[in-house]
Amino acid sequence: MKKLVDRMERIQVWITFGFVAALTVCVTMQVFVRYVLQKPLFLWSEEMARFLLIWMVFLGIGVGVKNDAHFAMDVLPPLLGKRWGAAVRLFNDLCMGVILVLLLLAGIRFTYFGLFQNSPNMEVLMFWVFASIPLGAIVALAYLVERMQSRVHDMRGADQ
Amino acid sequence: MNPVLLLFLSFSVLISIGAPISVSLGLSSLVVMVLDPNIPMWIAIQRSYNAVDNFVLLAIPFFILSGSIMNEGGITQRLIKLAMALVGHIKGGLAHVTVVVGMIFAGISGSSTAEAAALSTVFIPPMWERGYRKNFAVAITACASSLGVIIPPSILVVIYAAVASISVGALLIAQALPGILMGLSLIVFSYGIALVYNYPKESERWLGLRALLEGLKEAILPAGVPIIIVGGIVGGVFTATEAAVIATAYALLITMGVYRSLRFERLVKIFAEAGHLTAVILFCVATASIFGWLLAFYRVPDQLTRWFLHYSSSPTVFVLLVIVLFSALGTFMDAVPAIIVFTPMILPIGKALGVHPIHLGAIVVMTMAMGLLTLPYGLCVLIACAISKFPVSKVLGVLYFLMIPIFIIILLSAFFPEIVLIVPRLLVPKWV
Repeated sequence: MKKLVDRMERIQVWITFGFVAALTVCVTMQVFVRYVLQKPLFLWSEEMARFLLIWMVFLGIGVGVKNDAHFAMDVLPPLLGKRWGAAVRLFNDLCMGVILVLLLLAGIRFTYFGLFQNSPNMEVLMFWVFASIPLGAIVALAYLVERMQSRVHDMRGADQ
Repeated sequence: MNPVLLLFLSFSVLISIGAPISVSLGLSSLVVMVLDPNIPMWIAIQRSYNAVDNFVLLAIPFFILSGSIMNEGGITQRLIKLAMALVGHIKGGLAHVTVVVGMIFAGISGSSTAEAAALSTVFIPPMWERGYRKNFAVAITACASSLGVIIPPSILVVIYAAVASISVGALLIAQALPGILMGLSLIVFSYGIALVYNYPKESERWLGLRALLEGLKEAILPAGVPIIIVGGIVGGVFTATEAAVIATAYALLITMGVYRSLRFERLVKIFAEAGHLTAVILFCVATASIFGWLLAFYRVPDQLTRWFLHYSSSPTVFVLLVIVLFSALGTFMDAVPAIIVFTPMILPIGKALGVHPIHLGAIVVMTMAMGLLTLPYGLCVLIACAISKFPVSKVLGVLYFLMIPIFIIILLSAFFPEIVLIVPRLLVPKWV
């Protein structure tokens, strides 16, 4: 499981790099076209940038889970000692799990409605944008399961 | 149970046991939503999505990137010559050089943590070698790096402006003057310490115009970043988000094309780090938007406003209270979630009292920047201590002394809104 998760993260580093690079190109082009070519603004470039950002954000939640990067006040768990500290952290992970499962379920419904809706400028199906929400939730859940496993392992280790 | 009470109670319990703030916001909101049949559940996902679907927020990864890319190009080293020519001949020269480089770096990077890491590596060891007291060297470096989120660009400004729906460009430019004043007053205070402990000068007399020009030549390429950002926004050439992206493209061009100091593998890593940090920030923005919607639904901001007006109708008292609130938050909470969670609650009070929204925003961002220095959770201090391997407990005294100038500028800006408003009123009058 650990290996799988590490590989997932390595792949995601490249994916996120791709998103940021694409965003850089997209917005630079928007400015270039407006000023240098003196042509009217591409209406779709801003929309495209927003969609790329949304994909990057929802897929990136999981990497934050893996690296414990989500803002938290980590004061109580270290004070509780190894075993109870791990237990409280496990509970916090569980809370994250609840949010992610809800995000997955709501995201699926949201994505379904995206089948009947086009984006105003590029006229792509919103399905392709909304799909980032459930997909990101699944990816994040995979990371979370691995982390909870290692927490349980920590708690057991503290017993012996 | 009163839903508002339940909301705050469950939120407080969750964050105090160490659950991520984004999760605490989302879960406490959902508990309330489940219990109240008047609230449709689809609001949650709709709000979250809409909060992230915002072109303004796209500036965040790029304001992080412009700094970290230039850092790979070794900008800290490249700015030293100029800083030496400016302040090296004053007693305690190296400390002043740290602040000056910090100020210019702040004009390139939108995050203080990246700046704290860069400045600590470059400046703390030589200050120790030159006989500066260890705690002073660490403290002045931490203080200099806190300017990173005050002097534009700044990711805190982007977040505040997005949450408060005000102009990012105007707030960015508004922070320039107080940020520079903070830097200058930091130099005055460190000069005072240099006199007491007899710290060395870096050169006997002023290095002269020639050295200054040489320093400028070396600094001119990195200085292109703040020129693009501020100049582009003031000149109406592009929006803040576009400015952030163009500045990043420019930084890439310089480090890869001119300095040739950025390898592709590093580039991938830096891009991904900025992207992943953005994801964490915006996830927090998303869940906070549900929380904020619920507060508005239960008319909490209105009640807070009425309650406040009952006691005082003075804008100055309100702004001072905002400083107290955010100073307290800054001691234990990250600046990003503190701004996201508490801004919606203070906005309507500020509006009712006629506090200028740009003024209020600058006060909040500056106070949260000071929060990067207040322990237990003062990120800039923690980073400076971690890098120099110096115990945090030994910095406190001199750190609090060096925070005085920063605090004075915040207080002055509270009493005299002009300090914040004069530059945007002159440069971008239509936005303020």
